[in-house]
Amino acid sequence: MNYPQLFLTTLPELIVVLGMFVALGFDYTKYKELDPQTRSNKVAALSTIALMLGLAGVVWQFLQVTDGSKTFSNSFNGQVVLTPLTLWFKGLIFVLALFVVQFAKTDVPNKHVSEYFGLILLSTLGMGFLITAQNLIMLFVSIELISLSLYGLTAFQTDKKFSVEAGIKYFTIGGVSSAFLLFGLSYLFGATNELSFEGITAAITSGAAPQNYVLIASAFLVVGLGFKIAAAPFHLWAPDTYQCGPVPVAAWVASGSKIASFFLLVQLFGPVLETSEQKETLIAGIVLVSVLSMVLGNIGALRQSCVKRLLAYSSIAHAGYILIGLVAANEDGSISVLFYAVIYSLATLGAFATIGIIDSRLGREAQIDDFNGTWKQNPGLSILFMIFILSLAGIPPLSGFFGKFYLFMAAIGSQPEIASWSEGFYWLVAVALLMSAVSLFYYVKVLKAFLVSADTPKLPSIQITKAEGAGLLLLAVLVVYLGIYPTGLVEFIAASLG
Amino acid sequence: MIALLTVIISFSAASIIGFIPGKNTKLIRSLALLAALATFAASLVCYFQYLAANSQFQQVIDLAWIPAIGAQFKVGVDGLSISLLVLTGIVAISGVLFSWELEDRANQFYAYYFALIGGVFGVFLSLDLFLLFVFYEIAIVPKYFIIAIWGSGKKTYAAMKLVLFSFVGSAVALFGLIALYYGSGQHTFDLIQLMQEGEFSETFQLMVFPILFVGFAILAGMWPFHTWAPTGHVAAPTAASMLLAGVVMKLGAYGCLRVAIGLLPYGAIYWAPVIGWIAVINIVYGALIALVQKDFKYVIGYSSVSHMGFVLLGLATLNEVGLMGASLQMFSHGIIGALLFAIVGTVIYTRTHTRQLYELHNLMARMPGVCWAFIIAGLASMGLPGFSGFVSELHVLIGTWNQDQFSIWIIILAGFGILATFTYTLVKIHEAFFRASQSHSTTESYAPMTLAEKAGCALLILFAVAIGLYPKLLTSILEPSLAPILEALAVAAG
Repeated sequence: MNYPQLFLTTLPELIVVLGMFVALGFDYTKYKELDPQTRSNKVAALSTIALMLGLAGVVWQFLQVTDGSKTFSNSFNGQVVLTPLTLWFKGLIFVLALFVVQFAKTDVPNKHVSEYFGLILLSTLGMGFLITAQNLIMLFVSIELISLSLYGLTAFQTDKKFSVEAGIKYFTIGGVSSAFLLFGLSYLFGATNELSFEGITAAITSGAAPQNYVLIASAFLVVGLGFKIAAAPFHLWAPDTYQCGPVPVAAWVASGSKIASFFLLVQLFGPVLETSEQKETLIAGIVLVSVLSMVLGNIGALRQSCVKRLLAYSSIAHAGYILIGLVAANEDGSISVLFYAVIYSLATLGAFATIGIIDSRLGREAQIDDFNGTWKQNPGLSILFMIFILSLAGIPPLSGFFGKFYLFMAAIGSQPEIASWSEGFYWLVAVALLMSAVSLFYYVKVLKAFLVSADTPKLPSIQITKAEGAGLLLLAVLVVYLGIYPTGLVEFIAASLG
Repeated sequence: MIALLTVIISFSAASIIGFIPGKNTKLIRSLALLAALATFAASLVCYFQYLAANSQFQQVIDLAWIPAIGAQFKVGVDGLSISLLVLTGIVAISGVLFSWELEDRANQFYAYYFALIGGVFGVFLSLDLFLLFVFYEIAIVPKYFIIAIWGSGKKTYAAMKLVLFSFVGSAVALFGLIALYYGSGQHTFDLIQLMQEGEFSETFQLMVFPILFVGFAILAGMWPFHTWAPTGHVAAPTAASMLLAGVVMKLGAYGCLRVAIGLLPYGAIYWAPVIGWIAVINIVYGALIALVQKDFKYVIGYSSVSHMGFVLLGLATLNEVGLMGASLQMFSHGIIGALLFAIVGTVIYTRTHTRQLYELHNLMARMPGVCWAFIIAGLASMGLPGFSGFVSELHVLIGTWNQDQFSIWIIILAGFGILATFTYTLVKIHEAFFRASQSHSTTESYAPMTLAEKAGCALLILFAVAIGLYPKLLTSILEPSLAPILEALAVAAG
């Protein structure tokens, strides 16, 4: 084992872990006597520094790799694969974690401040490792690191019954899904006798691996990962987790962990779907999951009065849309899935953060009616929220529109010439378009409360901190920019998927 | 570049006015008027430039945008788009004039107003289907806010209905657009390239044409998907009704003509009789429903549905005269529909505070100026010679007569539709203005029209009369633009 190289390869993660220990140490000793809010600010500052240094490390690695340096060519049997693409996405995860830390610090659920931030940092590491992992063992370990941290975070509001309940629900269902995943992974290993993705892909495409075992493994993986991305019918944990956990945690579950999971889906299923003899069966299964998610998610969201729960159902629907790109099983499909995962995370993080800010100032869970007349006293917040919601609804020129459009293009492009309606994916796109129209109803309903109602606002004038304001503004700018000019990101992903 | 200015000015106006504090109403409305005038001026410059150099597409700007899906930022104008640019400019100005007294959240109103107008301009300019669709969808959301905030009656219901109909329509159209992308074998959204080189098989055309046509026609108020139009028009504030009836419905018709018929001529020929039938149902049904409405604004709302039927009928004729008639009718109804909504929604309503016909009494004595303005608008709407409506409807009828595929009943029903239009217009003019009431014998005069209202009416009447007396103003720029579409139709007909 080449230890100096291992050190350089995992440098960003090491920095973050070190930062976490520093934060924990200070919180247990020096800050012990301070009030929770001050401690929270100080620990958040330390976490921010750690993440920024980690991000700097990622950027350095990215520059090295794009320069063609061989420093990171050893991937330790696929455990840490550093390519421009994986590094870019890892960087994105770190950036999103930075946002989450800023949104989390004003309202820490209880006195265990440093554990709260520590768990956020740990899950960040898990997501980073998941993205760079192309090895079954590393994959499972990373997923467990993410999941265990998130279970804990969801149940963090120990004084609230529902938070704990949501945590337990998430934990139970998540545990079952991990079992499915592990079972699938073990079958995959059994069928191919390989641990690294590279070897597995080679075994499947060459036909060396028994196809039936690959199919069984893939089916279990779909179930296991279906839980992680909250696709129907494996979505039951999502509404409670999003609604009852602390809001920054919900934002984190909906953004960071989604990106990491979809990245994994593309990496894992891309080759299988393109070459396996059983791809028809597998695609049919994923199509079913996609349709169910779109229908159940959008219909479920229609009657919600709690915005967080509404966003949870909408996230189920979005998982359905994204799977359309996966079943396209072509290069455009993979690119569109990754692109959509990115822009969806930005918009949903922004939306959750806005709700979180409002909840924390209101001191309780905001219902849609509570937002009536918000434009009067908080015009800026209302406009930002409108941008996030309209992007989720897929209205141009925001990025959600191009993202969806690209997914649909990719799906139809996989088989543009059809002889009957059941061939190709025209019908699937038709379902998705119909469901987008349904979704517009509830998105507009939320915006109506914010921007239309002339009632006296129930919310007080909200003071947002500089960090929160900057975070929201930056997210909104990204959402708009990637909608108007998506070419840069699309071409980068295309080039690095190669 | 000058054509693109219309879009740039509109979106800049939307963002600048949006950030001015709402109390500065004077500043806001002056800026709004200025911006509307500027877009109108830009569209006029395009008009005269086009007359000077009569080429197919002018001022083409072609920039790389999203190569991954074959989309470019490609804009340009031909006669058809210029006529609609001018129309949008006129309606935008008069919309501001008729909202002159608006004070409630004026900054937000004009922000949404100009976002909508910018989207509309963008659609007319786009020479790339993806870009066209982007602008088409940008125009949807502002409509919701304008109606839901400043509307009246069942405004949130009407706004949601309108937005969902528009969105479903655009989703259907989007489906067709993606099919075009792959069906052409060109993998491009470039409209000109698709027109010249796209090779769509006959089965493809038969299947995709109705999808595209219906998708766009939902926004044009096609029966049976027209129900959003009357409710939406009625609930909307005046400026928005004017825009909706005046230009937004034209977006749909424009899409039908430019995209569906222009790219899929064989499909158009196959489906023309069906569209013809639907169009006369639009005409007759709209007119008959207008006849029995009690709410003055609903009368105008259904008359819009009826008049859009003439546009659809003209499109279905697929011949030179008929398509010319459809294009003229788009312009003509844009002007006249806006004028009718302006008078009923603002001029009469702010004075009488009612839109119910049975509550209006002796108006001819009490506000003669307004009544004359409305009567002129009504005559124009009926298609009396000397007004733009006459020219356009005559074209459509001649085109219908020349269309061999049509059943004789379509022509008879279209004629009946004109009769019904005469009837409801005259009946409603009588009910509103000339009916004296025993119980309400007051003859006290209402306040005269304000300067802004007079200016708005004059502007709209001017154009209705100008086109009516000298249609060559439009036909000369429309003719060369319709030529390639007719050529494609001739080729498809074999």
